[in-house]
Amino acid sequence: MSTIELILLSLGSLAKIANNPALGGGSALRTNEISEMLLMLTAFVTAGKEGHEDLEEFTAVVTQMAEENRGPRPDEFAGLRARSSSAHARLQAAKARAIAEDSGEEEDELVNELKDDLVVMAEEFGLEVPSNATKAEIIALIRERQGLVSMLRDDLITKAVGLGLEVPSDATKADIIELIVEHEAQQEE
Amino acid sequence: MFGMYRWNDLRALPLLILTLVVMVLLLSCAASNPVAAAKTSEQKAFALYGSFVIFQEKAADLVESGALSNSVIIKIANAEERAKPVADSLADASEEFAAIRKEYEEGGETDEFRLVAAINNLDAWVTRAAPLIHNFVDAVQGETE
Repeated sequence: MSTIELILLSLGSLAKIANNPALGGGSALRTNEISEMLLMLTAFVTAGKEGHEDLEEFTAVVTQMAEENRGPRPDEFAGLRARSSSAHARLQAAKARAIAEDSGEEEDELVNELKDDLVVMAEEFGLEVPSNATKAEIIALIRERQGLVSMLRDDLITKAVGLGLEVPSDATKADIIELIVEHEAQQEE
Repeated sequence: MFGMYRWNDLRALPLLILTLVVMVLLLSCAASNPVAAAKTSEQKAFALYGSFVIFQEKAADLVESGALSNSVIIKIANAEERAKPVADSLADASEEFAAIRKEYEEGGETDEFRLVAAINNLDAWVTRAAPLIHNFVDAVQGETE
């Protein structure tokens, strides 16, 4: 089978798959998925063609060796060993990159999960978290609110009065905190 | 082959089918078989080692092509990592046998017993290396496992 025949057959198969919903194709198939398939197909055909040619050449070497009734020469082995070392280094480097990329993606996922947890925690404190807030900003909001919650009622009253607020005598700690937070929000505006 | 996809990931189905189709096409192309062309144990060892090297290079091209997912790249590299030490030992055993045979043919101190032991050792490495190398070749041709 020639390379052209191989490519035509492969493209024919791709077209059948892409158009057949039963095979996962049809309208369910997105453009980027077809691009991914074509990219993979190109890699298969290229690597397959080169590998096949190398294999053919090597088979001819072994056939001749058998016809000459001789064993492999040291230089023939040395050549293969050098090629093997080079390919091994390339494969292991690709593996190291793949592992590093995968662990990077896991880290990103972990960071996003942590951010989600922080948002939930902030909401439990009655805080509104802007959607674009960073983790550090959410933590600062929570700490600020935690600081207020941990203050004694008398201290909260002192703080509120210091800000020029009037505190009803029957106000609870939560009421005073709300007054302070509202005041600070107004000041920021 | 199937390790690269989750069974419940139906979006991977077209890629899986395409992979199978191309794999069959590539296998039909690969009529050349160096191991089948070899007659002696030395030639078989050389043919097996050479096939391994060709598929190592093919695998390196594939993993650098940008068309494979990281999980597939890792699987191919792992298969190669498992096969390489045995393939290298096969090459060592073959070269050792060649040296012993040369010494025997030149009438040196090597006796027939040592020559037979060396060829048995080589045959043992061929037997041990073959399945590992075939697994690696399958991984490259099917791009996984």
